[in-house]
Amino acid sequence: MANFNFKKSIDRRFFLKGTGATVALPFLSAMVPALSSSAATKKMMTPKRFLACNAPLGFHTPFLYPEKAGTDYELTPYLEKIKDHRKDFTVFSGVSHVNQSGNNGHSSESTWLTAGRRPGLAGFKNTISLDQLIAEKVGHLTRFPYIVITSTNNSLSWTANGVPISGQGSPARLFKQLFIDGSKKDVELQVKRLAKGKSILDTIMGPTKKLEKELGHKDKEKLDEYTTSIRQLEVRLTQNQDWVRKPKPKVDYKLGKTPEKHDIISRQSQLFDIIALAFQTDSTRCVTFNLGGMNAVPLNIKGVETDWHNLSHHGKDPAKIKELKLVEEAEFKTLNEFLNKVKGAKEGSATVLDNTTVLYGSNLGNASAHSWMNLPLVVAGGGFKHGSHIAYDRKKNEVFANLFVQIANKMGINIDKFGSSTGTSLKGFS
Amino acid sequence: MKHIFIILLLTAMVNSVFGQKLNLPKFIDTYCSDCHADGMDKGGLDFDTLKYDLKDPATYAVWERIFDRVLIGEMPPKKKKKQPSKVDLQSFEGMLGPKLLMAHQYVKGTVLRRLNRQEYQNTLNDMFGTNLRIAGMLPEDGRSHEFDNVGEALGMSMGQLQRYIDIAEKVIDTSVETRPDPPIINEKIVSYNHKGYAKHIGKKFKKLEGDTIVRFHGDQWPDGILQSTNMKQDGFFEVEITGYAYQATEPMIFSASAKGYAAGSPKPHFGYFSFPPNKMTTVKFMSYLNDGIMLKFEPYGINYKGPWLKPKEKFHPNTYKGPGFAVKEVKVRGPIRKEFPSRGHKLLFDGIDRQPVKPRSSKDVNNPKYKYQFTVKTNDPNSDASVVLNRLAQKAFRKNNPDIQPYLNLFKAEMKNGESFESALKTAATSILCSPDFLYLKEKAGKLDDFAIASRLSYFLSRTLPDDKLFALARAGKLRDSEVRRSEMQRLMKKPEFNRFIEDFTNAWLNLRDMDFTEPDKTLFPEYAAYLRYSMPKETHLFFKELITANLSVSNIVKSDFVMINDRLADLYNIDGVVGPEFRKVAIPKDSVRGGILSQASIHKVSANGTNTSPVVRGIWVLERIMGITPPPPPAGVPGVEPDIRGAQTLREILDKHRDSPNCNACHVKIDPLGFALESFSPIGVYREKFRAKKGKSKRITPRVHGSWASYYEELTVDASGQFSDGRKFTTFNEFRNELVKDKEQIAKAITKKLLTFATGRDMGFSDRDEIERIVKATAKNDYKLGDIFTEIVNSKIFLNK
Repeated sequence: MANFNFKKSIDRRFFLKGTGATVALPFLSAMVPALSSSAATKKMMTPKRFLACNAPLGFHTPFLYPEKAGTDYELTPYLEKIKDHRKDFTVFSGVSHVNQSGNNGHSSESTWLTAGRRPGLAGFKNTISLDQLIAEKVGHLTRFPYIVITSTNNSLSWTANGVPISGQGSPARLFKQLFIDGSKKDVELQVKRLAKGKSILDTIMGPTKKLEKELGHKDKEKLDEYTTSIRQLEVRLTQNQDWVRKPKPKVDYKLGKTPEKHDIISRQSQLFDIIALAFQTDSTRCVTFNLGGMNAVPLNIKGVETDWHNLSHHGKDPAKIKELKLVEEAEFKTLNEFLNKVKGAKEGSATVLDNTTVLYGSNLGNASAHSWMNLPLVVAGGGFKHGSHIAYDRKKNEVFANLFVQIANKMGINIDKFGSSTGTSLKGFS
Repeated sequence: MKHIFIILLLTAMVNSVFGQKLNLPKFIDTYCSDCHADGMDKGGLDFDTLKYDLKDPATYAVWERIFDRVLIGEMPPKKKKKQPSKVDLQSFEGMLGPKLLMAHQYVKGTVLRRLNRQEYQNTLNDMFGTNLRIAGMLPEDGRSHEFDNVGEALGMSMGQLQRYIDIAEKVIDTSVETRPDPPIINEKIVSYNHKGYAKHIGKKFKKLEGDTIVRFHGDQWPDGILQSTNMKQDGFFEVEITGYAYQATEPMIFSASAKGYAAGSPKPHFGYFSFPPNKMTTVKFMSYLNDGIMLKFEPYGINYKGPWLKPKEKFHPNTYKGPGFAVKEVKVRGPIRKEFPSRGHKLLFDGIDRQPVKPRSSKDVNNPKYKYQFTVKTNDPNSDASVVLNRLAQKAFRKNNPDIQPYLNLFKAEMKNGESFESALKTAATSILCSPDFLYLKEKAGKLDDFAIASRLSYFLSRTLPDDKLFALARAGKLRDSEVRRSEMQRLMKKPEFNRFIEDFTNAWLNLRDMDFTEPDKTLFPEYAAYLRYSMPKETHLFFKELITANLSVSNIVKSDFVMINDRLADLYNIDGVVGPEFRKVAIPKDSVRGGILSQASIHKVSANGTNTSPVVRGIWVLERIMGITPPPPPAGVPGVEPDIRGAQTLREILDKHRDSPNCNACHVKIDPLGFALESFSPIGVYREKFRAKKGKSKRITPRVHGSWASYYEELTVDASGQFSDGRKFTTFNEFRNELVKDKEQIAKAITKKLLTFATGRDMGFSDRDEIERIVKATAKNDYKLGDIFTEIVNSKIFLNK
């Protein structure tokens, strides 16, 4: 059963009650081979999780970075919003990825979670994102190996072949996938579709192998992306066949009306609620969340009348910076509500937050200049030692990818290198 | 000491990569090492750390740049006393050139190219006669430079493959007919004199005789959606709207679109039309409507808050004297089916005995939404299925004699599992549409065969699978004949599908795809309303198409004596005598700043940052897209310049400091002047002598623009002067353009390279230089005409080989 390994430890409110049939999710879902027994499962009794949230339009760092380093740093406007969790997060200044000059000012968005270099320039090929590396190791243990959420067209998650993974942005659809069982008829239809999908994959594997023999070296490499996709989808569909008849976890949560597209804060808030539930029910252990950005006025934030992208290009106009601050403060307030939830959820003697590393920041250090140095970065939970402002040289930044190695290792995934990393941890952070 | 070190290093290079002893190290040691070795890394180039592996694209790009800069004479810098002799240069070229050539030849062939999502959508819709919005269901395609159809950059993932399965099923299901006869044609006549609007009549709307209703504003509540035009099914519908411009002396421009209330509903836009003043007129157009969406008409540029009201006078429709949008009725007729049964249906069922099961009640027969059950009668299902699968696979794989055995096996297995003939056939067809032979354009190395040429021509100029004529020519082995290729090219350019080429190519080449990436500040630029947004890329599309079809010189890209505009752009450009929303060719005076792509509003929009313009961004835009030169990225660690719109300094002034650094200057001396000239245009294409700013000490300026008000200050003056890197000076945009246009050969080379990249799905490189040179030279004697360049391209070695 999906809930077996955490039944004892989750909050009663999230206890499973359904026994009826369930519908397999669209391809995003993948499921544990039933009760994948033994050592591996036991090792994962206390799940370690990862959440990465990126703001593609930046955060205005003068409102984020404290002046003082260390534990007695002064609160800044944005940190003020999450001050209740001061002991559970670390704010970094002076961190960036290596060589992010790309083909346009926003191209570093594609490499924020992959630590690839020279995004979009000649010969650039992206690499695997941190969440996908983690999902490769722990994804098979949950109904969803990973969830990719985005409020724009771009996602943060990339495959090992450097191909972007489509995300989804509808809270209602996501909630349905995670927690709503389908009718019996739906389930039967789904069972049939999965079988059909597998026979289609079987069928096209033949011509693919034949084609491979006719191809030159470089074409073969390309076709390999396709062959890999067939194999992975086969595994996924097989896992789905195991899950399809199992009930989804039932949660005591009423999802509100889907907010309007431009009501970004309400959307973020709903999506964060669902992420918290997904973690608490162990439906997934890996989530990426592109917080969004748009050429429109964010709705329902008092005092904001200018479109968001335009605000991020404030050009030092104090009026725009003032509005931008309102938007970003609202985002940090939403983050705070999420932290409240995961910290409030007990998991054995610890909390869900203690077992979840939250990476919250942006690929732009100064969006108005499209600078990718000095990234805004807050890390919460995950069992790290928190409570301080770790300040590095703003001219010669520390390598962001070192933190990625550190996060993976903390989750029990042993790697010594990721992307452009030069070490296995960030100085002064443990 | 340092010399020894370099020589050691270079020896390693010689041995490992270049394979033989060269004199190159001596050249570098003599002329380059002062600034680029032993701790010196001017401009970010350091021979101590530069790698030598030419298979690595980044390293390759650096060596190619070194080659070019030395041979153009830019390096070593002129001010250096030590200058290489002619013999030195020849030996440098002779050493490095062939290595670059070989390295590039090794990697250049088009990499197995997946259909990008636009091509995939076109191909399926064209094969099956559907009109589905498929591209949006797939992840965005990877790009190489500006193009999103380069094989190398087009990836594949598990999620994407799942989507391909889902989409193929959907296309097949949509195209297979659910009724034995063509659908019943409905006609609806509706008006704004409808109960849904009753509460506005006499308050916002004015009722005239009959059902005619006048609206005095557009794009505001209550809007112009006509709820009873929900036709409750997908399909093409003829629309006729009858009305006139009320109380007006000018024609009334209005937009026609459709939308639905459900989240994610399609929002098609059918264009802008006009009614003449006071004369009842009917405007017709064809629309594709989906179940659940409704027509919406909005007048443009009128607003009841306008100057027609006296101060403090309240608006009342019955006393208001301003212009209004009078609509008598809207007629919707359809669904119009050009083909019945659909193309996809014929692909699957031609020659198959598929019969409807008689509905149980006669009511069902008359219900347009009733879906019949069908049964297929067949004595030999396997043989019938193999005929169908063969027909489908020929089209899908774009070749003769496809191997259908695997798909036929799936059909048999499905039948054995108890599936019906139709269901088993659909599953087998789905798998054909997910196979690599469909999803990828396969080309064998070396000379392309006829079928590969047919696909290249078709995906180049029609953005879809080859049509019947091209297929037939490929089968007959005629496409290796250059005359046939030329006439096929001309035929394809006359098809409506050629507009897809125009749009996809300019989206990439000129970055028109990013029209909506930023939104100009509304108080500074209120002109940027829906009508202008709609008109901007249209101008560029029609202009580029005109250059090709009228076979005009590439110099028109920079400077032309005509523009392709409608009334909205004419107003923006201060050109008189253009009335109505139809685009047309208009001659312009010699001293006009318009004419040519660089003075088109779409280009000013996409090269601006929403509200501010940067000479650097625009300079790079011109350099890369018009001159075909890609400047290297700034050396790592150099921060970008932060714009300041508070009104104290122009970006040019801020940049001046930046340019003083010799590290930056090497590139910026080429980039910035091009951008300075374009400072003459605001982010929305208005010609300007001063910058608009939100703050200022002078008098606030508040002009009324088409029903909205602007509010800004004008203080800082535009300085459009500059100097080309070769010393030529200019003080205005026009002077700049007159100089730039002299460089026809460079412009021709640039566009040829872009077109070849798009046509072949691979980046052009070092070993393509000779052939590109040849193409450009071949068109030189006739003034580098764009149509001629196309002909040379489809007959070039690059186009005909992999």
